[in-house]
Amino acid sequence: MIQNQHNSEHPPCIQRTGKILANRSIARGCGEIRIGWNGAEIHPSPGQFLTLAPRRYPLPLLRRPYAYSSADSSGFGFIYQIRGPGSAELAELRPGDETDWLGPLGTGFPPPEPASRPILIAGGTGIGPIFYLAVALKEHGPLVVTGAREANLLPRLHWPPGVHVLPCTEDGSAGIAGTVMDALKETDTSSAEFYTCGPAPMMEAVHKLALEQNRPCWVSVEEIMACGVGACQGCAVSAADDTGTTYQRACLEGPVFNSRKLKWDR
Amino acid sequence: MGQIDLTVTIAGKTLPNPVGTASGTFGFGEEYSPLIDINALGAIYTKALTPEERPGNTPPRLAETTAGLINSIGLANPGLNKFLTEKVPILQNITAPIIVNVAGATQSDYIKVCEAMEECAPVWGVELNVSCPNVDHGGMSFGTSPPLLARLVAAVRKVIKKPLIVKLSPNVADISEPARAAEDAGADALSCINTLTAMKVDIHRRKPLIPRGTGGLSGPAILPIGVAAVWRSAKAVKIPVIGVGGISRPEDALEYLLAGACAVQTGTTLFTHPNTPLRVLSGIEQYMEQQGFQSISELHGFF
Ligand SMILES: Cc1cc2nc3c(=O)[nH]c(=O)nc-3n(C[C@H](O)[C@H](O)[C@H](O)COP(=O)(O)OP(=O)(O)OC[C@H]3O[C@@H](n4cnc5c(N)ncnc54)[C@H](O)[C@@H]3O)c2cc1C
Ligand SMILES: Cc1cc2nc3c(=O)[nH]c(=O)nc-3n(C[C@H](O)[C@H](O)[C@H](O)COP(=O)(O)O)c2cc1C
Ligand code: FES
Repeated sequence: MIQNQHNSEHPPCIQRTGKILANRSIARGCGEIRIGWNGAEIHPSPGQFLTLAPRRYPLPLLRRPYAYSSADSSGFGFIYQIRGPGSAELAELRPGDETDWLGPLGTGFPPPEPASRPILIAGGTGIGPIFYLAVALKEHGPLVVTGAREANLLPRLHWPPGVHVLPCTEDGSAGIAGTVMDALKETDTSSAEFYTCGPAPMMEAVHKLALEQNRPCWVSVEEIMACGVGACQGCAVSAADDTGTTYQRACLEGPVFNSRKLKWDR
Repeated sequence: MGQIDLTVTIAGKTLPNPVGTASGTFGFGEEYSPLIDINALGAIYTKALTPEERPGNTPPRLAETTAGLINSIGLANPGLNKFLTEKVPILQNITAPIIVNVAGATQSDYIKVCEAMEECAPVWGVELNVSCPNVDHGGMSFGTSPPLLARLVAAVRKVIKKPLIVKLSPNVADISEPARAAEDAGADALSCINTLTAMKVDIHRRKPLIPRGTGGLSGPAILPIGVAAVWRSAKAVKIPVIGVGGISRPEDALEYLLAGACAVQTGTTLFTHPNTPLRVLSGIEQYMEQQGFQSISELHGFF
């Protein structure tokens, strides 16, 4: 289910028109869309993403990237937060509407090392790829720590058996009161393999914890993208190296990176 | 009815059709091969190539504007050596003409890369980028000063027999001056336009979105500026002019052709719709068929 693409060739991407199967609200300002394959089934890995063409091109102009939150024989899904014009279009989509998607793109999460315990940490819409990863890793008994400001911002999802979920809210209206980092302090992370997606400060905190614990950590970054296929060099992220001036493309080498390979002191 | 001739001739060499992909938007050709038939393109203009590898500018490098895109890539490219060892083997398998976009900080940078391109079999011709607004020494000083441009083009002309296209900057008062300077110094064709200097401000952080401050604007927003630049340049010179900037539809490309362009390039739009160049090509063909044109040059001279 999870291919280790961090050291292999990518499967080629395709561009297709798919029909919306469902579009449901899962939290305030946040929805989940499912799209049918319409004869073009592919097998994206958790952490990989697709891009959607804007319906009213050229306003907005560019495709918008979304990480897969599910993919099975009936279709695929992603979770979106309403932010600007691109995501506002998504909220309008109804079952039967058509959408132009391009995927699978990028390099996803690698499988965990043997004998390590996957700990998955999601903030905001980072929940999409983390949900897909948790489902793929359910045999490993992953722990998912998911954070939001308040209860009605926490996405309502059907987690499969085998996945342990630790919701946190900053105002204490659901789950643990505090941030995901507060929750991690109460957790045994000595054998953890960390996987995280969400706001940059949260991912940086997880990266630092992983360094302290000397455990592996995979982060999925969000960078504005133009082509999504490695052609324009627009989605560069700073890599950690001695010269301090090398970059990786979030759309090709990423969006998932070994956190130790990125430069964090921005 | 006679066969429509879509070929374009530059310095005695032909391109199979008038629609290519703009430099910097299509990598070195292979990135888009899963998505479109790249061999059906009239030309592939590569990302800028400089003698040394360039990592590019500090991110973020992109900002979307109303029907436009500001980029500040900073000529990120693998450099001449890696181009020859890693990209050329891939380019060898592409049958569409490959036009290498050449950039540099100094005249000798341009000469070094052009010398290598003259010897490099899969390369059809070069496009001199004297118009990049995104680096301190990205050639825009050449592109905005007709005397400097003339000297550079004359020097490069000495080392290259392959078609030499000069890509002009729109960031000038009158584009016909650099256009004439490039022609007089020996350029075989011109392409207009590169991106326009532009800025987007993040009102929450109270800073420009792009660390360098300004970047280059492309996309549908610049179409009318590009058409005007082509019209002025084509009036000023006898060599072919290639139109680029903001093309999303066949109608946009036809505006360029009617304004005097012999060929076009599509850039930003293919990020959103990778099939744009081929859709534009079939639209041009259809228009010519319906309106009774048999060659691109018949589209010129209406105004
Ligand atoms: C690999 C990847 C995976 C992503 N996965 C998800 C996901 O699963 N769920 C989700 O809700 N969001 C995800 N995003 C972010 C999502 O793409 C943006 O929220 C969306 O593009 C915003 O578009 P907009 O028009 O609604 O808002 P805008 O007003 O255009 O932008 C709102 C914010 O999104 C950023 N943004 C705009 N365009 C892009 C772009 N092309 N690429 C990246 N960021 C952009 C802007 O910088 C701004 O901060 C992902 C981004 C990347 C790069
Ligand atoms: C991301 C990006 C990178 C670019 N890189 C180059 C480059 O390396 N050399 C060059 O001559 N032009 C470069 N350009 C300019 C384009 O080739 C083209 O002139 C411009 O974008 C206008 O066309 P468009 O509106 O169709 O994109 C770049 C444009 C974009 C958007
Ligand atoms: S978005 Fe173009 S290289 Fe990543």
